[in-house]
Amino acid sequence: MSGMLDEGARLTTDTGDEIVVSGMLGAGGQGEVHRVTTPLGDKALKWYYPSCATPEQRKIVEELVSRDFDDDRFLWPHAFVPGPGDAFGYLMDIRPERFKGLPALFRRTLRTTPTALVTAGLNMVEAYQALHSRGIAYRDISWGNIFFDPANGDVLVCDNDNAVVEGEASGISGTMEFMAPELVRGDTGAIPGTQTDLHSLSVLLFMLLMNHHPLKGRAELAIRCLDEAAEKRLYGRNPVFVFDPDDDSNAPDPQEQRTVLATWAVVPPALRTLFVKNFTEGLREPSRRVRESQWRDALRQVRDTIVDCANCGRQNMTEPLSTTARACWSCGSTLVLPPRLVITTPMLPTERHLRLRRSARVHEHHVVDEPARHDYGDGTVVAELVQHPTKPGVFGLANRSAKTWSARRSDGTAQDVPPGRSVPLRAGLEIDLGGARAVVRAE
Amino acid sequence: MSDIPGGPMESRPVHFIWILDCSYSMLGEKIGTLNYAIREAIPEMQSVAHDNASAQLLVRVLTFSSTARWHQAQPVPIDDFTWQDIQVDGGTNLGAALSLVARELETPPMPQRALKPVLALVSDGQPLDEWRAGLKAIDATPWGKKAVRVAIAIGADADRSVLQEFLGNPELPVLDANSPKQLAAAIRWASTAAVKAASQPVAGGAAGTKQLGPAFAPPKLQDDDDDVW
Repeated sequence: MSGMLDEGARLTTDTGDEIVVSGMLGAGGQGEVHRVTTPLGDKALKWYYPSCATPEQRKIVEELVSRDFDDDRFLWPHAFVPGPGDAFGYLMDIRPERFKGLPALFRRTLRTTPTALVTAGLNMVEAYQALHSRGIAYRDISWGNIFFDPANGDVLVCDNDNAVVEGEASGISGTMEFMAPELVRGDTGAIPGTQTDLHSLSVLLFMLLMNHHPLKGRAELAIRCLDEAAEKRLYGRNPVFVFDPDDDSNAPDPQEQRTVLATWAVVPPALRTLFVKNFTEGLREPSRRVRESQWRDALRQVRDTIVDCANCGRQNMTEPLSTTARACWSCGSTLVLPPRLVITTPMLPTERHLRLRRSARVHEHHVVDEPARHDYGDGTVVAELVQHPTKPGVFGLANRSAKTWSARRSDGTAQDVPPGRSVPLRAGLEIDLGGARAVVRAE
Repeated sequence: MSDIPGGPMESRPVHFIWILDCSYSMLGEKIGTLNYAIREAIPEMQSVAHDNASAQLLVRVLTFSSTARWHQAQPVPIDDFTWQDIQVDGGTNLGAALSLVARELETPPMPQRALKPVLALVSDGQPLDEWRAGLKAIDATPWGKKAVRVAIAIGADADRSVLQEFLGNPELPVLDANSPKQLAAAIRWASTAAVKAASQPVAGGAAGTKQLGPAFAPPKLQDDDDDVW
């Protein structure tokens, strides 16, 4: 594959490093991405098409580089690269192989789990929240520039070169199916910003979990040629949520749109409620859109209460606070709900409910009031469900933290659980996890 | 059996039709270059198609010389598409080709629901037949009216006014391919940007944002013919 930059071409970054083009990685709407060798190892170079290499874009890229945003969830521009004439580009890290594009998920050509998907959703929400809380609007949220690890739900946000400080202009207004209705219509005064990002984020979450667009119901099937005019109608002039409780004019067709009916049926009400709110009130009134913190709380709760089907082993989402078991989405057997661990955080008491499935783990973010991030990685485990080494069927909670816990025996006396040791599970067991309090409940 | 609920995302087809000039004037380097450029473009078409799960890219190839002939008659998914080199013979009967295309743009054979089709015309000469009748036939079909059209003029002899009329929009430029490199770039653009334009409309021009021009803007081609390849 050949592009605007030939293999072997030499360029110099604004920091004075010499880089050599070594191949092409891909092409997108605004430019090409080349592999380059640099003194710091191989990197990716985004190089703009001449029509996109505008002074405005240049200013945005220079500003993004100067921010030096150090966050492992983003492939951030970290050096500006001037070229001959008006041409320019920027350096970023190369996307690691473990991160896959959403199209493979949509086509169902990769293997993943509900836990990984919900974790990916949570990570997406927190990544955009990290930008928004700094006053930066991303403006181009879509499946085209987010990648996820199907094994654990880690995410990587790419193509950050349209992110700008709220209120500043950037060259893009988005892929239509992700754009807020007021932008699709081109309403006076409507500009892409954090408020319109919230709409795009909700569309992204819906597609991630339901494998369907939230506004593509019967009304979409009635369209022969899905062109710009038709998309403007679907996403701008007359958007109707496929599960709008008060308007079934765009309800999914039971024959032709089975995927979304199947996926919606197994999503717990905690998430459904937010989707309904966002795609009814929030379609018409931007200030009523679901905020990142609401998505974060709902996704976290659902993530923590996923259970394995005792019959087929597949993971099922459950309603976080409910004690009623539903049928497994895959085999239809009634789910057996494992015991619940209720953690109460120390300062501003907040309850975290975890289902103690066989692989259950308590992470650092579970035991603090306002975690900056929900990291479900191996490095943040503080407790883990384990089986007794010699007594099969006996389970306990292993202390993976650095602090000694204090548990209460059934006779009421206190008992220390030092790091590395496990306390047997029983209904009513209370543990002081070194600040946060945890209680085991049967249901 | 999947570990997650729900089947694949529902998709709509994008019918992509190459309409290629195989008249005698294409003999020699031009036809070789065209065959090469399309071969090169296939992986990129596949990659564009993979990037959009709600579109299914289906390709056909029509060649025209003294007559018009389907080189690939059945719409084939881009992942299964292999390129068989085309050969030259005869004159430049564009009209016959456009009439054949028009027949394919009726419903049926087009499905009830699709994305915009893409018609990519590549020519180096002047039509010998009543080509306007063929163009009218395309314009008279519902899908022909909606089609994304791309026209590539190979060399100085190509009749640009014919290609411009095929585009049907004075603001869409005919892509010039005066060198192998330009042809490769034009073919590549036709096979990726045009597919994107057909399958994933982008709205621009919301208040307060800068217009990048039509989503369907062509690349600027560098005219350096000194690259040996």
